Amino acid sequence: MRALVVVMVVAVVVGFAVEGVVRAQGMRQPSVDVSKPPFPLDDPDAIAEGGRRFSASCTGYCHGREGRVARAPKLRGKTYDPYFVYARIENGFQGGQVGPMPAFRTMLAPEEIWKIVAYVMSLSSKPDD
Amino acid sequence: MRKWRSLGLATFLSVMVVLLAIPPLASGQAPGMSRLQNDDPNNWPMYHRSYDAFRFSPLSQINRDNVKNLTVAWVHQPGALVQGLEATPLVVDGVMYYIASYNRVFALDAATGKELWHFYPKLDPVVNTLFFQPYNRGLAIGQGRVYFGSLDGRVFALDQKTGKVAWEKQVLDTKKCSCNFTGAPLVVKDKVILGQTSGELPIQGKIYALMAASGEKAWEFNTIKEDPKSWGGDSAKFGGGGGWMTGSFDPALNLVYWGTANPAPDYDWGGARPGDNLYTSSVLALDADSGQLKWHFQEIPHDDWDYDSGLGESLVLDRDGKKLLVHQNKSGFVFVYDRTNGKLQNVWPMTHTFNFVKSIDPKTGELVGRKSPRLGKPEFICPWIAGGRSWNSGSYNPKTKLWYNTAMEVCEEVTVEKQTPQTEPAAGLFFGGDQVAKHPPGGEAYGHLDARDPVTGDRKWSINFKYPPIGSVLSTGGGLVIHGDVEGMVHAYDAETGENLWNFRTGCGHRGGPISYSVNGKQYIAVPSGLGSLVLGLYPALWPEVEDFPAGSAMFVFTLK
Repeated sequence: MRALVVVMVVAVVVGFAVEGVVRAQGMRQPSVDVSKPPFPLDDPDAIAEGGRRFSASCTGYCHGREGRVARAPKLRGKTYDPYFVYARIENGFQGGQVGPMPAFRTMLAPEEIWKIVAYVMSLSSKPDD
Repeated sequence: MRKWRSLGLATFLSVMVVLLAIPPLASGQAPGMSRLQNDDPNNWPMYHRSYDAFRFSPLSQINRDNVKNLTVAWVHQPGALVQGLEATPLVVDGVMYYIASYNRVFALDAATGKELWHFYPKLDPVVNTLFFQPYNRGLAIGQGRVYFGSLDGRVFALDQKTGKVAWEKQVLDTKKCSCNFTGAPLVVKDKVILGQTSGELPIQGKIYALMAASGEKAWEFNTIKEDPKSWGGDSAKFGGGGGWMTGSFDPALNLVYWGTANPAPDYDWGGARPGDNLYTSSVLALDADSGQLKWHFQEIPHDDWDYDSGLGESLVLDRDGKKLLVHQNKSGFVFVYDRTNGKLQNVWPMTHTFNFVKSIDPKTGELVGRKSPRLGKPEFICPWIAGGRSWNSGSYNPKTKLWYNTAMEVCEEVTVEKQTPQTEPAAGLFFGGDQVAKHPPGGEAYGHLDARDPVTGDRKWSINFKYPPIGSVLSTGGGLVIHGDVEGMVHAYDAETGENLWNFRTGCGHRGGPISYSVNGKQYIAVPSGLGSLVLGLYPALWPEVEDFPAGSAMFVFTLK
């Protein structure tokens, strides 16, 4: 019984500590398991919502409207690993020569990032026009 | 008695130490003023060189007759080329100071390029989450210190001789606001003045004055007016604004002139921010000591296009007995004011490709025949979101009385989207839509460098560029106009005729500000080379080859053979 109480106390303390770290770093707390998409990536509603989020991030400056040619990599007609796309949106990319991609981890919840992933994946079948 | 004598000596020595630590003041001058006035032709001591923002060097050793003999004196590379090199360097008493991406600051022997010191700040990782990064447009110098606003919302004062940190202050809550500093500060008397980024963020943007000696905040001005008539509902909370570029100063009137950024969201789907949205997209005249608003003029009431007034220079110009202020708005229209009271004297367009209004009344400033994109259907708008001109500066030559300035003839298709402002846990981008660049009706998009009368807009000469130029302009007492283009060529033109006299390919396009200075009787021209900028991301939609234009970042310095 005593051991159980100790374990419970430790678990609560660790839980608060983890939450504290997450809050301190300004990260969104995931309400879903972020290791996999919470919905099918071909879900039309997710793709539509992801498209709205994509354009609201002013991609005209970066990936171009609907992923067309831009200074950042064009996205239409490309085949990407969805987990790579998720990680790139979450963490951004500072290694480029022409311009960094901001990390969106503090601005977008994991569900929202997965919706943008769904949208980007939907562009793979779109002509590179 | 001996004890008192010792105490007295100690007190005397303490006072002397303190006095010696304070830079000497010239008689009747505020600290640092002698280095900031346009009094030493050899120097380029502030972002626009002088408080009147002329970007004119009186030096004439290099002139229209011998410019063909220019050769490279030295090149310095900052080792950070993401987003190119957007800054304008400074030169004071034979030392060049400049700032590159990721806030890398350098002091170099201006005659040889030899590094004297460098300062690389340890930036907060929050910088990686920001939209406005990692570029910086410039430094300020005064009181023996070098000042800059950082990507993570701090203001730094470095010792001018050593590069050591004299003080640093966290001014912005960048982790929360996603805002930062990218423009050069302006040192006015005993204060350092600078404005923040915020036009695309659901926050309230401000202009700050810090005490140059200590970094203590002297005053701040909120560019979002607390007025429900100007901001309907709770829209003021998310109003954006700010003042991200460097203003001007009139010492006689003790007024600082600062342009403010656009309201957020950039596009209004209809009811996003009811009212005229003061003081966004406006020119402010602020008392330099108190920050009190003396007058304002809103160039774009209820800005529907991201045509902000935050572009840098306001020419402080006297003509025919009038004290004028000439300010370029991003819409491509130039506003001329009586700078004592803000009364409008004239408005004229730098571009001929515009449809967002039919005209702007030159007497009242009224936007006649507004065409505002709204929710529902894409709208064809000219000029594009990058403006009729970007934040790069023109140059005014008081000898020729001409203003050398760039312009862009480009349109866009805007799609407005309703958006909920996000402020937790950090502010998210708040554009309210997206856009794609388009050619103007009946022709190809292009840009030009013009020589114009700044008050009337009368054009003396013009040179066209396929890719709209986004670098600043330098004019000199040698009758030259120096300008670098997007393709990586630096040009020298005859200031009177526009004749192309000299060219040099730096290998990378230009976004920064060229300057001229002199060391030991020898004149130099410094040209930052390095193509970068958010604006450049808009180009490939019209010119796909720009996607492959090389990145770079280098300070090229030229002198006569």
